[in-house]
Amino acid sequence: MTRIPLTIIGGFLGSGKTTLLNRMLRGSAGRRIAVLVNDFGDINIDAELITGHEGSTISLSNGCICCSIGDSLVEALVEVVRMTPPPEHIVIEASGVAEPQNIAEIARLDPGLRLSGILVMADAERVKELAGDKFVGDTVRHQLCAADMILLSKVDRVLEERKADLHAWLRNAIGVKRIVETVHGAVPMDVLFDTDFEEPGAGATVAHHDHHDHHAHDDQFETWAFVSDQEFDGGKLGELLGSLPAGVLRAKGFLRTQQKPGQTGILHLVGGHWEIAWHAAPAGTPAIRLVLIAVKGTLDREALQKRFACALAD
Amino acid sequence: MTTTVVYEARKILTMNPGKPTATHVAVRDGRILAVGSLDEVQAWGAAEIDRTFSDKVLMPGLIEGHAHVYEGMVWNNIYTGSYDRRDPDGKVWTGLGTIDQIVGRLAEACGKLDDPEQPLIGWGFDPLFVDRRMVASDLDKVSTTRPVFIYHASLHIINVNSFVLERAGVTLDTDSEFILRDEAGKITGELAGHVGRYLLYKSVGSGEFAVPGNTPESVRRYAKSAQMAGVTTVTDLNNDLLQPTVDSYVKVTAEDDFPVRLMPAMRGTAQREDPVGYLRSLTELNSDRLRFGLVKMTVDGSIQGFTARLRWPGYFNGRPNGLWYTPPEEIKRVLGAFHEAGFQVHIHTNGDEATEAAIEAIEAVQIEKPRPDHRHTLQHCQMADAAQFRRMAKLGACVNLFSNHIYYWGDAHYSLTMGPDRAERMDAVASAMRCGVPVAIHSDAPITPLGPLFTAWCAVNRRTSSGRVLGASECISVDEALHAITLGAAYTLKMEGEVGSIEVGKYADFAVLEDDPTEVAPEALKDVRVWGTVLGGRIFANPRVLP
Ligand SMILES: [Zn+2]
Repeated sequence: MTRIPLTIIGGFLGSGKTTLLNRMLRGSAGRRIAVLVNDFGDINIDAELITGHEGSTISLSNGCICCSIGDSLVEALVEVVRMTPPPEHIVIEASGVAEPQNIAEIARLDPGLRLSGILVMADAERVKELAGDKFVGDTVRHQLCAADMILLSKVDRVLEERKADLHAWLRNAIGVKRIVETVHGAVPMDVLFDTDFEEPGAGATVAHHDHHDHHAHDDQFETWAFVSDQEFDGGKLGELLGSLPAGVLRAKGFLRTQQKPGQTGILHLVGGHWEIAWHAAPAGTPAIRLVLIAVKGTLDREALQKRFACALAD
Repeated sequence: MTTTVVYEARKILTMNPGKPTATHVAVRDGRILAVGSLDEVQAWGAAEIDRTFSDKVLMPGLIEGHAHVYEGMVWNNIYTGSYDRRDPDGKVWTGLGTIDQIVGRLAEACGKLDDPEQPLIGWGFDPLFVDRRMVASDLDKVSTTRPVFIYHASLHIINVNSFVLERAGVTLDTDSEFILRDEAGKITGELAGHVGRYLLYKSVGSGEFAVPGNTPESVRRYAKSAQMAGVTTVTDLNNDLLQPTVDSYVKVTAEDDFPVRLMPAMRGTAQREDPVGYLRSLTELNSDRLRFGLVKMTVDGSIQGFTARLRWPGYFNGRPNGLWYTPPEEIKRVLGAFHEAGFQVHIHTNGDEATEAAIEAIEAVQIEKPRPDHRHTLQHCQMADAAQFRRMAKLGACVNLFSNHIYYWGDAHYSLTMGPDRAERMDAVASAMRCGVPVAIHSDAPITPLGPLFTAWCAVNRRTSSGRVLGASECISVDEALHAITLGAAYTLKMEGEVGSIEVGKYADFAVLEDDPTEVAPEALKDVRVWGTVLGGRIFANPRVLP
């Protein structure tokens, strides 16, 4: 059974979730995404894109659908999961006060789903103040802590100095290492999604399909690939994946291990957690191809090469 | 020529301090024409005298300011609680004290199902009051071939059978805080929170087992439930009010034999283009038995589910603070919109931090757009202290306290959620009155049984189910409690000019009682028997059903 990847977009009210979701819906690049939103009213879908509107679901001409969560996220999600055909990817807009890790628990427990990341938006102008609010401070801090990566929005509205201060605060006071800056919801698709790895080699570089915005984001990321014709040692690989540099946003690709002969594993790693989906396949060339996407300046390529090579089976 | 009917009663408790008791009430055109002695009321001229109530006691029709139409739906499933509970047809379902009894009742119901796929659903189960923990193998005795599950009274946990566990993909090594285990580490079949609900819905098919919401039949049953308890005005205090619901309400409340005045509250945060305009358009459908115009908002969760937002020192057992269901700034924004448009907003707060946020929101909108007599009402408001009540009084807010909680969960609040100090001042009716806040008390049916006389008993005696008196200083008198379930509740609905007392000009809405609540011992207030009701001069006798 293929597990449907599920992405959770968290973040407090006004942190820019809707802008990001609008972009995802429009720039889905051929993926049939189901986006669950709290309020249709905020989602700006061009009328000519809409091919149907039935109850709480809007269908778009690019194959995506947008569902209103209404009173119950649980019920809306069950409905989407049971659709035929099922969507290729599910994106949930967590409510402004939701604890995203509670939603992630659903993806962890349902064998039909796979967590593709908790992305938490933080408004560069307000997040620090909100995190100290007497009522919602703890909620905001929980949300930030739960993030596989933080999307720091509206960075164009704050001074460089303030931005540096924010980064330091997020790293030190909140304890998050993976911070991606965004303006008007612009985030490279390879950072948002991890579903491009059916074909060896695809997605090896940061895709550029979302860069018509005035801010170029390439300078925020770096990628690094590991290619080998050998196999990993399963145990060493586990240790390695559990201790990647803190700036790694995602790792994806295919691999083989000595412990699973005759099988190829598809790796999905986001933030601190990862999983490998195994399927029977003869070894191709190369046998391993993994790509890491990380916050710029956080990858020591030489050290990585050494560590990955060390994880290969003797 | 309109007719006048004079009802004679053993005693009429009018709740009008100007004339507290009477023996006769004259009714014309569905309204009260006169109250007093036979001579006094006959001064209006010829009247037919009806002696149906000659040996009964009349009170103003009771008012339930916080209940839900789901009360009319739960009875499609099997009651598995530990207290006796009467269904809308008058049948009393005995409370069950052992797991075996519950399994027995479910098995009996299972035998009556025709469709082999149809889930069998129990509700009202309270693990605190049965002999042992319920596990999946218990429900397997009911059926291994169809989904069987039971909602706990707290609604936070659901017990399921192995059939559901298997379909949900739960195995021995599924590890999650939402899938409970016993001391030996074995999975019990208890699924918790929204994760549990997801697993259940996914395996049995979302919505397919639920009775369609707010169908005419459900609304009728809800009204019957209210009538059984002597209620003539009832809210449905949180509803998205989608078109099918509105249609049901309009249709059913226009039926001659519909026995209550229904006051739905629109969920203020429900997504629609123009919520204020929508509510305004609904008010055009208002009639004498249907009144749109209330708004409901929810700030936090429940105390027993540990989702209420508490101030320091938080939960007694150290659980982390609860959840904001609507963030304070959103409360302020939505409240502001309805406040400005002249609507009254009912705000659910359980924890005292949520109450604080609601008070601040009311204060903010009052400063921005001062509005006399708005009567925004805090609902539940279970942990408010005197300082919060004083602020509410100053701001013109009302409170509707959840007195039934004292009986049903008081012991748990004492030992688990709040600890002794705060448990003893929970649902502090006496404090609220001392601080000058207009007070009502409620059941939140179907969370607890709909029955204002029982709720009044809770507020008077403050006895928990184990018999502990929880905060004697917060007990109120019987008279005060009767006021809370009539005029007090009417005030929080802005209806006290039309209902809530037996006075000239008001609707002829009465609760017909076999016993006099002012003469029975205060400890027996809950046992006062309800014969039926009168709504707008029409008599509704309760069905007499043997248990
Ligand atoms: Zn309620």
